[in-house]
Amino acid sequence: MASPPLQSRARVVTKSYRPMRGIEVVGPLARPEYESPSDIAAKARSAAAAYVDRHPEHRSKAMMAANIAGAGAGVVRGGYHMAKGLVDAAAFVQRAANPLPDVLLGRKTAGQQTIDLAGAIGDYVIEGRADPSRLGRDAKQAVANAKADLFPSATPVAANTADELARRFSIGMNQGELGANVASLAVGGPLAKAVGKAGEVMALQRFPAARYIAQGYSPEAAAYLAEPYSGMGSHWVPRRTKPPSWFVDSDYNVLKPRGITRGEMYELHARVDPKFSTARLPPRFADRSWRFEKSGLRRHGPLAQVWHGMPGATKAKGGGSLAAFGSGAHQLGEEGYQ
Amino acid sequence: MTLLQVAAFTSDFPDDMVEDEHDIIQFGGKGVSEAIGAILSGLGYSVGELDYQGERGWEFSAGAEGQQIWLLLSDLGDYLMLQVEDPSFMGLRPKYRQFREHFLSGLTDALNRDGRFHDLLWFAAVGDPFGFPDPAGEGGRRPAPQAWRWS
Repeated sequence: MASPPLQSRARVVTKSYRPMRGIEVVGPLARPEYESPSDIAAKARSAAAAYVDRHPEHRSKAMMAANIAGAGAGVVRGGYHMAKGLVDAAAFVQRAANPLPDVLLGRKTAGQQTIDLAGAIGDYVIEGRADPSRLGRDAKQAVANAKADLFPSATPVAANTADELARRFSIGMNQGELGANVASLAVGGPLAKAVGKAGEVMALQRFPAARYIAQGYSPEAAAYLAEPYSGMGSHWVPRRTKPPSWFVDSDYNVLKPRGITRGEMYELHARVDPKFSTARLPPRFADRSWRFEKSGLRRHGPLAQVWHGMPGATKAKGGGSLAAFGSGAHQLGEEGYQ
Repeated sequence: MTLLQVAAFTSDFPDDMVEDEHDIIQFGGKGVSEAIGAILSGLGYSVGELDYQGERGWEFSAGAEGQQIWLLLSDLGDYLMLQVEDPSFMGLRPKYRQFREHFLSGLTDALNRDGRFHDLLWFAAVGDPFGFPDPAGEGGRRPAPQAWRWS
């Protein structure tokens, strides 16, 4: 059986679901191999576009959020491709060490493929010597392609909100993947991981409602959940235990971080209080209630519930001994629920 | 022994949630909590004061013969949820368990007899070792394997 043309295999190395400009993807590799993140992103984009059309004042924030969310997804995609590259490389090395299966199956061996690739590179270099201007043209084209892939201003704005969100998200993904690749070259995985987290945090800071839209809430309910929380907070020592009156509703007993949104507070509350899992939403929304299970989060374990449910003021007063307890509780709690 | 922890039901009580044009000022369930408190008083339990707990709902206690049980009622719009809050470690004592069993069976009978409450189902805390089941979760309010209908 003849192996697919070298060019189509080489497309895997470009690490992009969307073909780079000027290169046509052919054969079975033209179909994305890992579509689920894109599907999820498309769903969120469509809901976000409807919201932005209704609230044009949030348009610039939404575009920025799509860009940053795309960057986070690009980092993940970069990690996936890095891992896939390692697996492919390992398979290639294995095939080079043992070419017999390839020979028996009538495929090109790893050695023959290496020779083909070297030949193609050699041809390109020879042709470049014959026509030096070609190298310059190709380099210029590569820079133009990179600009179009990485900078929003290098390509025209899309005709409608949904397409523009998709364009910004796609550019963000390219930026994120490039960032992940550069970061992994520099210091490896940990930094790449931090870059992804930072992208996510920045996106949520700029457009927190996107998080709840992605969880399946209507844009109106999502906007409500993204507003500042003004409720009672979570009581660390339950009121029914009748703690001293100076303590019961004080900052030492009420967990209610400054600037937290409704949705964040509900999530925080549910993670530390096993009896809180659902909260009613105003009847004007189609969504009748906020539900913890939609968040995709898990509750803390019993010890970690004590630690994470403790207000910052109490942690600060307790100092080192509480920090030691917290460290242990966090470990036990997180692991206890796996 | 499986402990039943959460009851989900509907009622004929009017929605008593208080809201302004933008936000919920007071979550609903006060009227239903008071009605359940009155039912428990009728069954001979001493019922404590209602304590408003924001988005959690309304908490109150009921006790008899030195034992006490805490109940948390949340109005979730489509249905009401009543959670049993066992005091720490007390649930391990056989005497408390006996009290709890008697209490829940009496309460269930009374709620089933009272024409203002409907579709009562009890759920056990299974599936989420550190949390209570969400009756509105997977499967909606259909009777699930972990749901019991006491009659």
